[in-house]
Amino acid sequence: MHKVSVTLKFVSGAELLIKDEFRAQSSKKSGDLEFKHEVPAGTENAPLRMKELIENVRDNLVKGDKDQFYKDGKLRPGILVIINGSDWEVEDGPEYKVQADDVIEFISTLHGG
Amino acid sequence: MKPTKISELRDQLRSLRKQELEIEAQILALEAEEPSAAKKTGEKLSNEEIRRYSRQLLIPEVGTEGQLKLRNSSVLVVGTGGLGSPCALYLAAMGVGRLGLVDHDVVDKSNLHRQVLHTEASCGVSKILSAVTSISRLSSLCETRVYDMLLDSSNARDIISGYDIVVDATDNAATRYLINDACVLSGIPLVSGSAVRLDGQLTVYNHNGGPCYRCLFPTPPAPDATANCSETGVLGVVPGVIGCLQAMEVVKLVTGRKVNEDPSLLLFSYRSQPHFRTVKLRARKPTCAVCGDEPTVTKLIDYVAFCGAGPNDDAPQWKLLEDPAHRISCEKYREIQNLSDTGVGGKHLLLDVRDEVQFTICQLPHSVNIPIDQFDSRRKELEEAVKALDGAPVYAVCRRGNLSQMAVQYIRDQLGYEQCFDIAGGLVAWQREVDAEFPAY
Repeated sequence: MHKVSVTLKFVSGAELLIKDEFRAQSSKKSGDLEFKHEVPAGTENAPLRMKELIENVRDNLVKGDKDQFYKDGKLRPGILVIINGSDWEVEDGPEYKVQADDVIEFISTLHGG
Repeated sequence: MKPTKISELRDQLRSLRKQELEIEAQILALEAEEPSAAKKTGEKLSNEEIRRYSRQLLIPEVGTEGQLKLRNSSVLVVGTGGLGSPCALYLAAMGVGRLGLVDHDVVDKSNLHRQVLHTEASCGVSKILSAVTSISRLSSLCETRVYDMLLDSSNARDIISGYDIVVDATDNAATRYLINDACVLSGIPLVSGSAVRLDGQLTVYNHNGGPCYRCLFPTPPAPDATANCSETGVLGVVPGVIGCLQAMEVVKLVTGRKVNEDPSLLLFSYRSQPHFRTVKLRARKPTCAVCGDEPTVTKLIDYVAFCGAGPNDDAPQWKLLEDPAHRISCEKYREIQNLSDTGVGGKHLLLDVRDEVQFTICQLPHSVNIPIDQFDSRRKELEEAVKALDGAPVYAVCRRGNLSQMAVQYIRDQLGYEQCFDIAGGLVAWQREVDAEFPAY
């Protein structure tokens, strides 16, 4: 099956949601958790959308309770999704059409002070 | 002779510092009876102000006009901890005319590595008194107003009204939603910062068509999903960096220079290269519950219920072990320890289930460290240790007596070993109840 490669980043604590084996393959030695990830490309009639990418991340990369991460279109509260440097709501949110080489970030909000 | 003289002088300083706090407390008490002065106005800087702020006046982005705006502005800083300390100090130093400070807490030694408003002398006194003392030392031109209380739904609107800008320098989700809603309902921009471990974040909410906190986070996080400084730690300078940037954003807002910027979230990390990044944020959401076109939150609500967690960063006390016979007190464990130390009996295994970093900070004598999250991967080791006991008991200990209960459940249920008990309250209780010298952290 045809695949597209995107760059995934998990920062500000979101990296703790990811399975250890993927954390080990980070391309950044000491920095953010960042790695390339391949997902099945969509078709012309059914292009790969952000929600399917998140389901793929949930099913393959996330550890622990998967429903807590993403279920019925609802992402875990306190997580922001950033597509190529912009809040995904600036794009089309879950309906955004994923392109090859997109950089998708998951940022956990911090509360401490 | 010399060392004695030095220590005499140091003692003298220590007592003067205590006295300073006492005098500030008297001033605060008297000021509380006075009606507060009218907000500063006026269209000219005094000669003293010109001398004092000269280096800042030279910058076109501030200039005389900007400095006057700062002098005539009023800013409320909620929280005088790791973020609020540098933020309030810089706001006072840069010439903000009126500074409001809210905090309900008392200065603790474990605050000092990051909460730079507070000092050794002020340990045990209210953070508000400590903060005012530091600020009055720095500037007599900055008028401070203090609120020695917990911000909640009953007082938040009253406290923030009259301020031009609010700075969120708090440490928990419930208070963050409260401050956000109060600012939206009062139409006040909010400079929000946060920091945990090695990471910090900064956003200006409710300004210039940008989002509010709820636009970004309509649903509060699960209580167990939030990390706080007392549990997970924080590098002292990290909130310092964010607090300073909060003060800078206040200057931009006051001087009217934050108009052509897209709403953004700034991310700072000790690890990442570069250390700073910003991501572009959405605009105000028309469907937002509080700042949207048809808001459902039109007055302040119960934020503790909304978030399922209260406004403090204390650790929760779990109660996993229902049978009290499965737990022993610290006092009881000390008796067992004495027996075993004198060789009279009391054979047992003391199992410390904290992670290695915490175990290295301090530990009880003869404890064996197997972190709870390694129980599965080190199960064999655990089984052998238990087997070698020949029926003697296992006592599980951790920092606060939460993880140790999980450990007892594991050993009882998974390994089928009944002689297993938890030391209730953990090392924190051990320090409180048995050994005051023990360095619980």
